[in-house]
Amino acid sequence: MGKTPEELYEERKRRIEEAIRLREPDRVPISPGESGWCLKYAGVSWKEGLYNPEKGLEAHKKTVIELNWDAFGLPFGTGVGFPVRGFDKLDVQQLRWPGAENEGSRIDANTTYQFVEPGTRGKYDPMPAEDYDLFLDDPTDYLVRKWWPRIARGLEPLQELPPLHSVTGVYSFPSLFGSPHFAKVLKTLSEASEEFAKSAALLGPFVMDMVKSGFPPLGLAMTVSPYDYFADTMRGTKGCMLDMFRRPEKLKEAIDKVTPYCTEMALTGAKQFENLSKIVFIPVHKGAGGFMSNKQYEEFWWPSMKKVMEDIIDEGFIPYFYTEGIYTERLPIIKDIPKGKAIYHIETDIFKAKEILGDTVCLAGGPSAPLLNTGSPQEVKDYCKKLIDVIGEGGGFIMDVEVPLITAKVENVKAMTEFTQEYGVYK
Amino acid sequence: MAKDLVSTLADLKEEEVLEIAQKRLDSGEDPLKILGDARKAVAIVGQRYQDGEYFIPELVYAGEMLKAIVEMVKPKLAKGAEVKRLGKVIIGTVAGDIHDIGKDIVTFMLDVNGFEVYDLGVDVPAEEFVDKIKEVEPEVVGLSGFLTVSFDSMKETVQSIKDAGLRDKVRIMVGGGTLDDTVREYVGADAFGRFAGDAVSLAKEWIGGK
Repeated sequence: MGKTPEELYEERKRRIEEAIRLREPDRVPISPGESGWCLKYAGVSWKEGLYNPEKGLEAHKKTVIELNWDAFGLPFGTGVGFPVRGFDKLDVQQLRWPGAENEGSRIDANTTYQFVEPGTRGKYDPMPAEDYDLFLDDPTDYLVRKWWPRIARGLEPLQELPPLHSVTGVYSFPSLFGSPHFAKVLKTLSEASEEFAKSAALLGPFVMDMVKSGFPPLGLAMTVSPYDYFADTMRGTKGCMLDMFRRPEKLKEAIDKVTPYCTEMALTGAKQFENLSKIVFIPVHKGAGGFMSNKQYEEFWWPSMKKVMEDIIDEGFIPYFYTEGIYTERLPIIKDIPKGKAIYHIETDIFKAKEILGDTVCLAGGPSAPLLNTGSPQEVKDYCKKLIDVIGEGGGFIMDVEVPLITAKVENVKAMTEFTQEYGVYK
Repeated sequence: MAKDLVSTLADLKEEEVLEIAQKRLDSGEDPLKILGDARKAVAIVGQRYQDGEYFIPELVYAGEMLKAIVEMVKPKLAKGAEVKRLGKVIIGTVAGDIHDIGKDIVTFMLDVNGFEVYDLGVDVPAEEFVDKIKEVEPEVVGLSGFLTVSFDSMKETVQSIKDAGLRDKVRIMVGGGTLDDTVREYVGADAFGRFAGDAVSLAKEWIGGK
C-alpha cells in the first residue's frame, strides 16, 4: 500500500532535517533551486507566470509533484514572489521584467526578471555616496523619503513630505497627511496595494496545498547579508567597492546599523511559518571570490553575516546560506559557525567544501548550468553519482544545482532527480 | 621631483595621485605624458589583479583614478592626439541579460592593455552586434552573459554573425557566470574565458601585440 501524503510529508521533512544535522537520512534529499524553471517545465511563459500568479503557482505545484522533489522553495518565478502588477502601479525602477508597463523596465518575454545594478547605468543611483549620514541619522526616514522614491517613481511625492521624525503629535498630522503629495502617493499606493494583496493572498493557500499534498517548504523566510543590503540595492556593487577605500568607516557604521535589521527580517518571517519550516533563506552575492580579497571579506563582509546567522541559530532557526560564484577561498572563514545548524549552498568548489566544511554544515549543490543546459542525461547522471559518492558520504548533503535551473533541459532535470532518488539511498 | 605618479596610482593612493597629476599639468607638462603614466600605472594594477594580489575593488578604484586624470588633462589635450591601439574589440552583454559587472571588468582590462574597445552595453540584440561589426571591423567580438538564458542568446548572436557573412572576419570569445567550454562549443564561439585576464590573453594571441 502506498504512503499517505501525511506520511510522505513527515518522511521528506525528516530527510532534510537529518541532512541538516549532518546525519545520513534514508536517502539524499533533492530540492533544486529553480527560479522560474517550473514555468518552463509547465509550458508557461515568464510574462504569464508573473502576470497571472495563479498560473505560475499551478506550474510550480505541478513541477514539484511530478518530479517528486523533497521540498518546494519560494515561488520566485511567479507573481507571488514578484508581484509585477503592483510594481507597474508603482513604476518600479529597481527591476526589469517581461511585460512591464513602463518600457524602460521591460525586458524580452523569454527571459527572467533582473535587478538593475545601482550606479553603473544612467541615472539610477538610489543611494549616492553623500547620503551615508542621512541614512545613519535616521534610516527609516531615509528609506521612506529618499530611497523608496528612487526605486519606485510612483512614490516620488514622498520626497516632498516633512521628516517623519518631525511628526510628534496629532497637531503635526496635517503637515504630513494633509499634504497634496501625500494624497497623490496614497492614490498610487492604494492601487498598488490592491494588486499586492491579491498575489499575497495566494501564498498561504498554495503553501497549505503543497503541504497537504505531502511536500514541506524548504524555507519561507528570507533575509540578506548586511553588506549586500547596501551592495545589492542601495550603493551598488561598485559603490560599496569604492566605499571600502574612500569611506570605510561609514560603510562599517552602516553595516553595523542594519545588522539587527537583517536578523529581525529573518526572524519575523521565520516565526510566522515556524510550524512548517525553520529554514531562513539567505541568498548572498557580493562577498563571492573575486569581488573582494579575503582580508576585505573578513573586515567588511563576514562578521555581520556571521552575527545574523548566529542570532538566527540562537532562536532555533536554520540559516540557508546560499552562495553563488566562487567561494573556495572563503571556506576556512565561513567554517566558523555552530555545527549541524546551517545549510550552505556552494557553487564552486563543493568538493573542497566537503573537505573543509563537511563536519560543520549541511552542503547543498549539484550539477552546473552548462551541464544541465547543454549536456546529456547520462552526463548529468555520471556527475550526480560523483556528488552522491563524495559529497553525500556520511550524510549532510542536499542535492541541488550549482545555480538555479531557469532554462535547464527538462530531460536533464528529470535525470538528476530520478538518479538521486535511486542511487542516493543510504544503505 | 615629486612622488612618482605611476607608483602612487598603482598603490591606490587617490588623493595623492590626483595632486601629482594636477601639479604636473600645472607645470606645463605634456598632458599625453601624464596620461601615459596613468595608463602605465593602471596596467600594473591589472597585472597585480592577474597575479591575485589585487581584486575587483582595486581595479574599480584604479579605474576611477584613471577616469579622473583623463577628465583633468582632457581640456589640454590636442585634438586627435590618440594613443595608438593594438586592435579593435566589440563587447556586450547579449540579449535578455542586463548584467554588466563582469563585462565592465573585461572592457576595463582590454582598454588598459591597449585595445580599442567598443562596449555596446547590456541586453544587446544580435543585429546590433552585426551592425557594429560592419561599422568598425573589429578583430575580436566578446559576448558576455550571466544568466543561463544568455546561452541561447549567444548562440543566436553567433548565428547572426555567420548569416551576415562575417564569421570568418572575427574571432569570438564568450564569458560570464558559470559558462565553460561546453557552452563555448554550444554557442559556436572560438574561445571562452573564466577570468578577465583571459580576455586580454586571447585578444593578444589573436591580434598580436606582445
